[in-house]
Amino acid sequence: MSRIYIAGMISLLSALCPTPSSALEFNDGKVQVHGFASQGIVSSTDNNFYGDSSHNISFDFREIGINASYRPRPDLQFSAQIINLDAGDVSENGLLLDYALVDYTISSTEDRQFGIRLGRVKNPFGLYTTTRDVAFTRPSIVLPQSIYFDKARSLALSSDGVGFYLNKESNFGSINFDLVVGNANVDRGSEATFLRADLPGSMQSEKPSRLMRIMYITPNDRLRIAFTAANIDLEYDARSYEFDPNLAVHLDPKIISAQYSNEKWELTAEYSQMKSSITRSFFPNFNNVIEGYYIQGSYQLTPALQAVVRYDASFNNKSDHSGKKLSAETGLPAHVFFAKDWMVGLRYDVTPTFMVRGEWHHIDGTGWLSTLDNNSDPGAMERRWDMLMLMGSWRF
Amino acid sequence: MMFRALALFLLLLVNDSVAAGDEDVVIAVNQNFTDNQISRSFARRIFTMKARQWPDGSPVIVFVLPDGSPHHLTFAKEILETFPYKLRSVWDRQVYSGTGQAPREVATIDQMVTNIANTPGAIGYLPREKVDGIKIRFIEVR
Repeated sequence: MSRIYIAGMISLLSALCPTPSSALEFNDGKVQVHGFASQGIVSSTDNNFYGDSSHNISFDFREIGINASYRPRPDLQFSAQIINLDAGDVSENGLLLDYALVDYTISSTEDRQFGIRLGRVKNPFGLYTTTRDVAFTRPSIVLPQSIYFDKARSLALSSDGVGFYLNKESNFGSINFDLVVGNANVDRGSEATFLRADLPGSMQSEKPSRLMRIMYITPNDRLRIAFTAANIDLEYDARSYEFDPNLAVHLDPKIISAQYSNEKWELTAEYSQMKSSITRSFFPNFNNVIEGYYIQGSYQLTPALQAVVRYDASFNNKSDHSGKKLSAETGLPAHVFFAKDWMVGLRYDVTPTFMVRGEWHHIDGTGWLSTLDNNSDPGAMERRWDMLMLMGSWRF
Repeated sequence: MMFRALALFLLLLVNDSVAAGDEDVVIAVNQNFTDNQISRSFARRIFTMKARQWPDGSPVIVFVLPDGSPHHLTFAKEILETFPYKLRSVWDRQVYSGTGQAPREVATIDQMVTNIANTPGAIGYLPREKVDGIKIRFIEVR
């Protein structure tokens, strides 16, 4: 019932705002309020993604957010965003504080800017992470799961700590550098990704994560290339009655990103490797290199209609693409250790602030499916499956 | 009825393809900014909402027309050498990650004129003939 209510709300709100409405502004534009609301529908042949989608229609795919920013002086900004997400059984319920920060520009000249951010800051991870919950900023309904895995989305999302940024513009193009140091936020989806279940204890950041991204953009704004590297340390605090109390996870993702943009078309590719080591008391340590990449092309058919196609591949072990070795070691089916996803989609901008999207996925492998959505039984998942998604999204 | 719909459709198509190409679009500023020139990199940093102050330290107030406006298209392509959707993507990334604010959007050229004329520190873009040289000045990109 509440699903229908919220979907109704979204269409009502979008009907009320048919004109290009910019943000709500107060105090001569020093205060801006923006927001977004998206409702998705998922139906799949066999496995569940975003709720009970298998041979069914799931409405458990909703993203709502509102933010405010205040810039009392050119060099100072306060901002915060609250979001509510529904992503099947993977998401946390209720309202989440997505970011809350103060941004101070330490020095600024015509061609250079250097500053600091304090608080809960978004992680500039690859091309899309900073605004991954805002459908308008994504190239498709779901991001390529090889790099932007939704089942452990909280890990990459934000850090409680400090961020530094440096932008420099010259005749040779522009360079943007970001560094973030802070504690990662771990949700139950991330816990289940490493433990294969949401266990009674809690997983948290063991020490501050370190993340840096450097991006170069050519002077004509056609090509941007970026490199991201991070170090994340997590620990699992078990309850006293649990069998294996101590568990530490170390991750060091590295991503190379490239995007070529033209007036009508855009070509994007990212490649990532993540060394993951899990240390446990009563089991042998587990070391692995996770590999993922995608290539994606989009074309603007008319000013309001865009087509997108993508091939996205992820492998739990770089040297075991078929998953056979991991399957032999763990007893789990080989298809849980990879996923190869072909996607085609369309985006139609009904107004500048309301759009609808549809996309179809043809997938070999179940690597990025969460056990939380699939009865904690990897054996019951099907290796080859298809998924249709629709989404309506509104923003101001 | 059919014919009218078709005529309307053709009109829309024509409207769409006629960008402000023949019209000369220039960067326009409030009269309190006295330089006659601005570097392309500074203009870019201003319209991507990264540079937030003028060289004297006063705040920059950025006005833009809607993404679909032909003048916005000409401005983005010819002056900034980018595309409207790339600008929108830069603004969105900042607005929804708390790292910046969006430019202030005005619906029409007349509103752009009024806002630039009445807001110290304002910058936007206009067809050259709309710049009176008194309350609004144009600056060349060097």
